[in-house]
Amino acid sequence: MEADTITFKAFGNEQITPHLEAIRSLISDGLSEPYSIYVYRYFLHQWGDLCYLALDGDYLIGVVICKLEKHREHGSHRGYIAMLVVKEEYRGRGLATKLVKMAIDAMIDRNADEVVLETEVTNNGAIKLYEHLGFLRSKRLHRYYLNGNSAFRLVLYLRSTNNIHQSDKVDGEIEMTDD
Amino acid sequence: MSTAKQMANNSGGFSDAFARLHVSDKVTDGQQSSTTITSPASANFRDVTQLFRQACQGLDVGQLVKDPNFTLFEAVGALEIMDPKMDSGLLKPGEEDTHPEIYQPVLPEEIIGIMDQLLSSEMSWHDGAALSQTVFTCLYIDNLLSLGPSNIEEAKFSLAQSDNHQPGTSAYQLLHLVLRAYCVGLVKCCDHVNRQILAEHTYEEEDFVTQTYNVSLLEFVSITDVNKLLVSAIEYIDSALAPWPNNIKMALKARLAFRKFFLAELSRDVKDMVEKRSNWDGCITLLSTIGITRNLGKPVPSVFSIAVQRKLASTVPPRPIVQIPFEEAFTIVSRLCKDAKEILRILNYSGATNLMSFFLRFTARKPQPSTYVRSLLQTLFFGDHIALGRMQISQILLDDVKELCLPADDLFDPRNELSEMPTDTRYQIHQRMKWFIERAGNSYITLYRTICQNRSRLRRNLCHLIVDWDALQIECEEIDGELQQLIKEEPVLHNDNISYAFSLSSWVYHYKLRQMEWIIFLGFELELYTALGRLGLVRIPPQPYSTDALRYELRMKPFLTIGCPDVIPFDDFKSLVDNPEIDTLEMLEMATENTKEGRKNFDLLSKMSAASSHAILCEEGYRLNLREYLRSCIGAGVAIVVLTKAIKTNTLVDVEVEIDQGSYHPWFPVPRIASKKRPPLPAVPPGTTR
Ligand SMILES: CC(C)(COP(=O)(O)OP(=O)(O)OC[C@H]1O[C@@H](n2cnc3c(N)ncnc32)[C@H](O)[C@@H]1OP(=O)(O)O)[C@@H](O)C(=O)NCCC(=O)NCCS
Repeated sequence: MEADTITFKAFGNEQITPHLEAIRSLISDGLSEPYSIYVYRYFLHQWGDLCYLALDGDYLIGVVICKLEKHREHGSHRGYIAMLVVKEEYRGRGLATKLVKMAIDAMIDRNADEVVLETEVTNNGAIKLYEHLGFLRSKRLHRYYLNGNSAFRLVLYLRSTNNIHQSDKVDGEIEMTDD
Repeated sequence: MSTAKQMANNSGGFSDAFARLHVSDKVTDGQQSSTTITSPASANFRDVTQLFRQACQGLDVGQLVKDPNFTLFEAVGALEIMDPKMDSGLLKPGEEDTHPEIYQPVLPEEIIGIMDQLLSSEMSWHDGAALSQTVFTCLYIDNLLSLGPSNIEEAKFSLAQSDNHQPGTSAYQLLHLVLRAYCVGLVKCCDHVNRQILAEHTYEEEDFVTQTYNVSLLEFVSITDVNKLLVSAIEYIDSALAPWPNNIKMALKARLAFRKFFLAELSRDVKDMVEKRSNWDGCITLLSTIGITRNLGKPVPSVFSIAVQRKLASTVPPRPIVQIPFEEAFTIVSRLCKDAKEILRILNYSGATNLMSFFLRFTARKPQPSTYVRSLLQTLFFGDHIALGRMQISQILLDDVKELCLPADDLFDPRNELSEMPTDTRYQIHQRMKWFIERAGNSYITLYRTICQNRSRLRRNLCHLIVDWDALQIECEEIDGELQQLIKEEPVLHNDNISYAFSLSSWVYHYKLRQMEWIIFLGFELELYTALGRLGLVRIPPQPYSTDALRYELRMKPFLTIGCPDVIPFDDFKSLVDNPEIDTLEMLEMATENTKEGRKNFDLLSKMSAASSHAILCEEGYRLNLREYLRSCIGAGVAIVVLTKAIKTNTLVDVEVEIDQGSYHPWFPVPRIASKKRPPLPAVPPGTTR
């Protein structure tokens, strides 16, 4: 299935992984929304270990970018998959699934309670991919994207909310994943 | 993840004080491109380049300086100058920032064409695109508004001298009277639409973009002046001075008159509407003339340009021109007029439950009524804190309780209010009812407003509302208990149990349950879930990261905090749904019975009068809804028959399942069960020779 030359690794930080420009252009080609350099740095500098890359040799062919934080309201440990792209020629071979699994595994290691993300309602590929992993659609976000398209919020519970300690709520920043 | 659009409204407030500044930079392919940014004209500048460079020396590659308060929200709101996806001021290599002369049409057909293109732009705006993608991309609108006219005289085009447009000629009048009047009228319409939408609860950038980029929509020009201008344009066309054939005159006049009528409706206040002065029919009639004369127009695409976006003060990335086709725009504007007329029905108050039914039916319509109309509906309902233009909300609230729960008359006795003795029973009843009106009144108004939101928001907001109604129910139970004593209520015997009315809390419970029901059914409508089969017809692959129990918990999340009714535990739910003791064929038989029963009951319901169905204000919608329910029952019945046959004939493997949204009820999608597609027939039809 996969060519032998394809490898996966965590982004870590910019010193050890000089791929920031490649990541930007891969995502910029794959997603409709334009993101400033601050967005990439925001994620990669705080959660570089939750960002995974797929490489063919030295050539970047896939990336997933995430974060993991206490939710400002319910105090749950919430993972968020912000961006996921696989280069067109490499799609349909399970690379995205593999990247997402690596990210979720890393989040589980770090005690995540749930993982959430948004995707365009017409993006059947992405929706299927996530639903196959156990995500459910929890709400619809009307005209969520700049291009006027709507989104589904997908949620994966990793453990029952009964077991989450509500005690330490934090006053976090404004979340992009509002309720 | 979504981008910066949430920031849209914060932009531009200070841009008046900003002068234009040009920054040029080399791009990689060696060509010059440039961008326009704005900066304070009068500020004192200090060059910090050296300081900045020095500070950078201390940093390694990959090291980041980050303010701990810098949030994702801000990161996402940031725009990169010189990035073509983000910088709306960017000129691509070869592009110039000069303003080419606007094409000046001479033919009346071209004017008709421009007017219709403008209608397309305007309706694209109504449909959710920004002004910067629609109306403002018209060079004539830009020309009209760019100097910020503050009265009707200033609201005119300033165009270059043109030999074909000598003052006094009909070509001149076409532009400077006819098209100008149309543009002024259209902008004024936009002004009133924006005011309406800002006055009520809708979601910026989601339902509608009210952002005007600091361009004034002629808010200082009076409607009277706009009307005069439109009338003088119409009179000119009617006069012998206008040398065009009658059909052309008719087309131009209909468009101008439509603007006049449309503006009159958009600017009408509720008092006028209560007094039945609305005239949406006038708009609808003129629209039909516009439709008939549509082919006389000759489009002039060159008078629309995305370049206008560069000039608009904006913190959002560039967005493409949106101009829906004329037919679509025509449908939208026609529907807007019809819907706006229809909602006036609620002013003929005929009881609270009828009012509620109207809101539910009207907003559930597909496609959903426009944001403008849903906003206007809120104003009619409770604009300026007056219900339906002339009533107190408490009356509607109490009517609702009375219609649904038939509470004791003593609670509503007008003499209660007159009592001033705190020890008097009447006084005490009144105090409690007053509390109820205030407490429940707020929840009740919010419920109506929520129903007016877009369908996605409706479901999300209901998930929050039920928490409030749950609390309200508990509070009302206490009050009910006290009222019981005060009016010395006689209990009734019900199934061997003594029971009391608990009117207020029962009413609250009823509405809470209905909202919970809507939350569930909207989940089908919004495609958040569909029913899955137990025969393995719908492939459910292993989902490595979750369990049925966790997914059940997630699904039930909106209801977990609700006191009553309880969410049933997962294991009970599972055995109820899986029914392992019941054989599949037997279960299908039960399902057949249920669909039959459903049909019978919907038949009965459709025989009831509008009055007893609480559907006086929305009878057609109500009956249509019943027909859709009925169709869903029939469709489900058919699916069961096909499935039963497949099981009995052992042909399940050949069967395919698809969810059919079709003409069924959006809350009861029906699985279509069909034989798997045979291999496609050869492309050559039989009988043809090669
Ligand atoms: C979505 C995307 C990341 C998937 O990458 P991929 O490597 O092809 O995905 P996988 O091979 O891991 O696919 C996993 C499953 O998803 C489903 N899937 C993926 N692409 C699909 C498509 N185009 N249509 C239908 N299903 C699709 C398949 O069911 C597949 O499982 P299966 O082949 O075992 O049945 C890729 O198409 C992409 O980069 N798209 C553009 C960016 C984007 O949409 N990102 C997601 C939104 S944040």
